Amino acid sequence: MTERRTIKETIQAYLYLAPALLILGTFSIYPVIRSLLMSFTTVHRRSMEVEEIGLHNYRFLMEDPRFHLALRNTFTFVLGVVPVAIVISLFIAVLLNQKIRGAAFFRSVYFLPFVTSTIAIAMVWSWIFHSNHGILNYFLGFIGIAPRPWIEHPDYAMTALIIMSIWSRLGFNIVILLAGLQTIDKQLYLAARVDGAGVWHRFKAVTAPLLSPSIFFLMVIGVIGGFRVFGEIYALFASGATPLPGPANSALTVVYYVFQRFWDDRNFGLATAAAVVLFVIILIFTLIQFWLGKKLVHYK
Amino acid sequence: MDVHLKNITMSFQSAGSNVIAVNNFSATIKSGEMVSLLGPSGCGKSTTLMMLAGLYRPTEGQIFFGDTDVTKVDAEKRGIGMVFQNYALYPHMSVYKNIMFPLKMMKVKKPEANKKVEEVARLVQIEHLLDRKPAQLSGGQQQRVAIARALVKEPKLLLLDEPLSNLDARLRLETREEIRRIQLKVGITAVFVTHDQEEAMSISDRIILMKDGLLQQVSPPQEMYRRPVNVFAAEFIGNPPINMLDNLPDYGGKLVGIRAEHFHVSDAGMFQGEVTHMETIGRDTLIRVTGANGVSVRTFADAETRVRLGDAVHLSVKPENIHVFDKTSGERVGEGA
Ligand SMILES: Nc1ncnc2c1ncn2[C@@H]1O[C@H](COP(=O)(O)OP(=O)(O)O)[C@@H](O)[C@H]1O
Ligand SMILES: [Mg+2]
Repeated sequence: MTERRTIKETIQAYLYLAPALLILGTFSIYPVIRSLLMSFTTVHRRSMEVEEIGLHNYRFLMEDPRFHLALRNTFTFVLGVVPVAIVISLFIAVLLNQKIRGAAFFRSVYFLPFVTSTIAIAMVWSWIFHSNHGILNYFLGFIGIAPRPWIEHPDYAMTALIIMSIWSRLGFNIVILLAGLQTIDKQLYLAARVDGAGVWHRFKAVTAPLLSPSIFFLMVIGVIGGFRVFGEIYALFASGATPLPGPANSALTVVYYVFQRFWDDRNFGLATAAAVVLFVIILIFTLIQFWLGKKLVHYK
Repeated sequence: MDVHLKNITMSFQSAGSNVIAVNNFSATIKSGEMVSLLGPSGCGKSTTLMMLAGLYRPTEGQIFFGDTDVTKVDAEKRGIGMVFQNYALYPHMSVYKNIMFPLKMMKVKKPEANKKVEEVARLVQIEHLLDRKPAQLSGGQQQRVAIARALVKEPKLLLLDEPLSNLDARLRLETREEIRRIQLKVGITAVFVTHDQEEAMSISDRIILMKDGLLQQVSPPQEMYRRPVNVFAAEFIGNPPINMLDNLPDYGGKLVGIRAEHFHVSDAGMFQGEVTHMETIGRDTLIRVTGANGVSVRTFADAETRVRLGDAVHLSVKPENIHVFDKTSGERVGEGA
């Protein structure tokens, strides 16, 4: 075989790629470009005629208290969910990786949230969080904590959302971490024991560094997913007649803001501008993480 | 520090069945001695070593380090050094940090620890590799790092589990001498696990021979070669393998073992036959002599006797080089007459 491609081969290759490129172009690339352009415009909500062109949407976002609230809530959500979910899953994954009876059963149990739809999860959790008949308040009662209106009150809504989201991420995280744990040579743990390392030092010196690629992957995926949170909020709070992101907008996030500006206000320019801002934020965070990853992650 | 294993038994529960990996095993390893644990794969060598290390707790029996019963002391606290078959170096740590790790666990002060790492690195001749990661080292170099890591805390006992099996033939020979040099220099008590009889013969002060979890023979290498206590020991030691002959005229009902190197081509002898195969390996010529009844033996031909393929020859052997075993028990019953 020669390295050079003939024209025929090239055409053939593009023909194979065409269906994928077509779908990607139509449903991904084209909308992205249109959105970016749209964010610099204001169009009439019915005639769709362009009324204004410029940075005015971005200027508005800088001043809009609701957008600020959405940003704050989004950051709170990401910070509250991603690290905690990883720490808890790490703990469970390490336990499940031991030779314990029924490990296989628990592995499937923990994977369930991952294959369950967000809507179903939210339905179950809204029952768990219910202020009168909810199982959470019932159990909190045992340890002497007064019942809380988890979903109904702005002070608790974000906490409820974070708890549910942590839980729903555990399955995926645990599966990834378990896969990572399986790749660690068991002899290293024996060597570490002989070298005098107890449980904690074995975790610190063997497990953590060798699992760092998996943890890093979960961080990046988790942060990106966290910034884009929408489904959980919609399902947990907005199932009523008036779809509000939590009481008093207490769980209003950026994507929810985009959703409201787009569908409720039909202000397409503003909605896409907010989306672009979110895109930039995610990009910055991902770059920071990759930069940190280069220093901290051990790849084979 | 003498190490005593007293009636050690280790059984594993696996897939519902009970595997007895080590069976009522007793042995003593004397202070400063290099002992080989020798036996075929699966005979319980690694399991024995793991119990010495404290990584497994014996189902029955006791282990003593000197006068101290360490049977229930965990590996973390036992203070031994161990070299694993695949080296088990921490892949994310530099060679320096790998060697430093046991000292860090012992909370040795930094300046002192640095000094020790450098000393042991010099001993195993890897001073120039300290900044590298294990993946950047050859197998032989990784081996040295593993030895350095095992020795750095100055343990009383060094355990090596088939340390040479991942090296190529030439390197195996070099490293084997190197391990012996280091062991003698440090004067450490060492247990060397191997399934290679030649390795065990060349490196150790004494050999502990095992089969199916049972101890077969404990003796210095030459003694094991000269006086195997049973058929298994006779067949396991020596290359080419010992000739085992059944139903020889003077040895009715017994098995007779004669090593290839103990036969001599001569004018008269106990075995006669035709040279059916010859191969020259280096300076030796290995021949196969097949008798009238189809039984064949291996031996060496001297350069001066000039045997050729198809020659009829007699093989003689000195009586003390004839090992006689009971056919049913396999135990040694004496020498030739
Ligand atoms: N962790 C274990 N679980 C079950 N069986 C084991 C375990 N470790 C070893 N064995 C069994 O014990 C026997 C001895 O194994 P091992 O000590 O590794 O042999 P060797 O090192 O001499 O090759 C083998 O039959 C092996 O299958
Ligand atoms: Mg073994």
